[in-house]
Amino acid sequence: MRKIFVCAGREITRHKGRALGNAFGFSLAIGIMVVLGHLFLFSDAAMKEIMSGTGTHFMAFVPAKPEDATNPAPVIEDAQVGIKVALDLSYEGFLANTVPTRVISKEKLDELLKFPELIKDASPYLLFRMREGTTGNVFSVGGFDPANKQAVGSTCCAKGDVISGEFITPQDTGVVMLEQGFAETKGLTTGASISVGGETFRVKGIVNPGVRPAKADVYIPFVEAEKLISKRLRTPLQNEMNVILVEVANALRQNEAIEKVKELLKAGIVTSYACYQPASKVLGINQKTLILLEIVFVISVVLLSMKSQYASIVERRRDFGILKSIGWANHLIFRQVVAESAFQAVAGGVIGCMAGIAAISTLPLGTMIKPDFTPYISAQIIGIGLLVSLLSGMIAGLVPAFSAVHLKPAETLRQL
Amino acid sequence: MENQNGYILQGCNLKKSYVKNGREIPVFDKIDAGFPQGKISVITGRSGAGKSTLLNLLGGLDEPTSGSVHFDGIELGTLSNAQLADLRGKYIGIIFQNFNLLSSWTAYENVEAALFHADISDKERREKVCSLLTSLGLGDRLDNFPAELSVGQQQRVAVARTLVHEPKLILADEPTGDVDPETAKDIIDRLVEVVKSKDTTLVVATHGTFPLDIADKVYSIKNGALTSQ
Repeated sequence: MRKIFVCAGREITRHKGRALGNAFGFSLAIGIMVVLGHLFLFSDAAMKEIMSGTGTHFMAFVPAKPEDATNPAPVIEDAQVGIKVALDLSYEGFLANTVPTRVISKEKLDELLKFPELIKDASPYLLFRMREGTTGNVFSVGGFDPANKQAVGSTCCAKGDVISGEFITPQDTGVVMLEQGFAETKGLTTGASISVGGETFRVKGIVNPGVRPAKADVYIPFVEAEKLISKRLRTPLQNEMNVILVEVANALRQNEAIEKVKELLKAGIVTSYACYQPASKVLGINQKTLILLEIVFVISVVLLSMKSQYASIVERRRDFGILKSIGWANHLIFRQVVAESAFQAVAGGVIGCMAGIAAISTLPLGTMIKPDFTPYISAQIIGIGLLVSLLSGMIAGLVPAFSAVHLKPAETLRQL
Repeated sequence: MENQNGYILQGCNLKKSYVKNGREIPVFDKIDAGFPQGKISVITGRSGAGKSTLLNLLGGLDEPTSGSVHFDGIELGTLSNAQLADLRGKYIGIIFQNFNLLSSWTAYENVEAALFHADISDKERREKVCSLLTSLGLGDRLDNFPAELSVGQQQRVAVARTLVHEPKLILADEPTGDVDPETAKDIIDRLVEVVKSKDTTLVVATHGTFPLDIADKVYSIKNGALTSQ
């Protein structure tokens, strides 16, 4: 094989123009490939950062059925889903998205959290429509976990939503937060008192959660909501919730996460912002475009190089005829042609990688992706670039090599 | 069939024709020829008579339309391309009418190319090639490309390439056709010496430039038929 490499090297050095032309083609393609590969990496990193804060959350619940209020209650297939009937059935009950819901055992949360690749966080939530006895006002009470840092903030209410007063902390008792519209309708401000379920609470803060899917009129710590709501049910809550607040691990996998939750809840319904879909799809399209461009470049170079190599074979028909006439076997000629092509491709690949590194180091490619993005050189991309150059060089050499092998020495020499 | 009648090389009932535009163009038909081992055989004929075509068939470079070629008891038609290449690389040397040197390889590299299959060390290879080229008066032309050599020098490189692997059979197509009389004599002397000293078989195709008086057997090819003289 060493002799084949020597002969291939000899051909390359003796036909510098042709070899440089081929190597230049490869260097251009590999250089562009390296730059595009890095842009892909940078874009991916920036996209993950963006997507982690965009629409990567939803709430899930199990809607109630018309027969839920009958006695005895219907049998439910899922043992972790139950029915809780309010004492004041005409006005009160669990709801989500304005529809009545069943309750879910909090054990479901543990099951969900077994899929960290899909579910980053999940938190229990009680959303209950309540009628105040003295005034007859009907409003929704949201019982949330104030200690939760992620799922609650993205689906229910967050510290950033506070427009007056303060956000409820895990240590707080006897306090509530009011949704801004509800507070204005009732003329309530921070520090005022409000009667909820027959008990009096102090208003600690006014919040404006915008379009968060699990918004309520009155926000109260989960434990207190549990006690308060239990008193208004025929049977009290037993480690149950009616809504699951979910934070997805990666917005690009939100659909998978939704499907997983639906699978666990069986007849569950999921409500989410829809904005994650176009965002992830558009970003995905950009990445696919980059990959497509890379493939197009590599294929173009392979084809162009193949054409150039083939032209070289036609030009060297006589040489191959001579070599065959003095005893060179087809496989030796085949290897030499492939080796020549691979040498040129690898040389082009090395130059292309160096050019790509120079471009990434000097051009403001990072800021094209994100203003504060610091570009870096990926050894993996460089390695792939070199590997692609070697493989594409070999592939580019295959057709010309087969062509050289099939030359008949007598015909080749006779046509001279 | 092995070495029948003392022939190391034999063509039996050979026919060769080409097809062009659907028309068959015959070169020769039903040729029988035997070439004795360790002897000089000459095939004469005018240009276009089919001498080179016959040599190509005898060297396994081309396939006959019908008939067979036997070398050292082996029918070439039964060999694969790889086996034919191996046979040529080890046992057959071919000198072409127009030298057929590789233009981008030096004189040394052109000769060394014929030793590709030889199981010898790099040092031996170099010594063998250099010594042969030097003996042919090209010791100072090892690194010259064919275009930098005279016609006579190019032919001597071609002869060196043929002799370097010490073949049992040399097929020479007009080996002295394009060279001056002095170079022609050198080449002929060298070939005759190899035939005598190494029991090599030499088959020469010529239209008259090769001396027939040194030939042990002479064939003439005319109008597609071969006759022994």
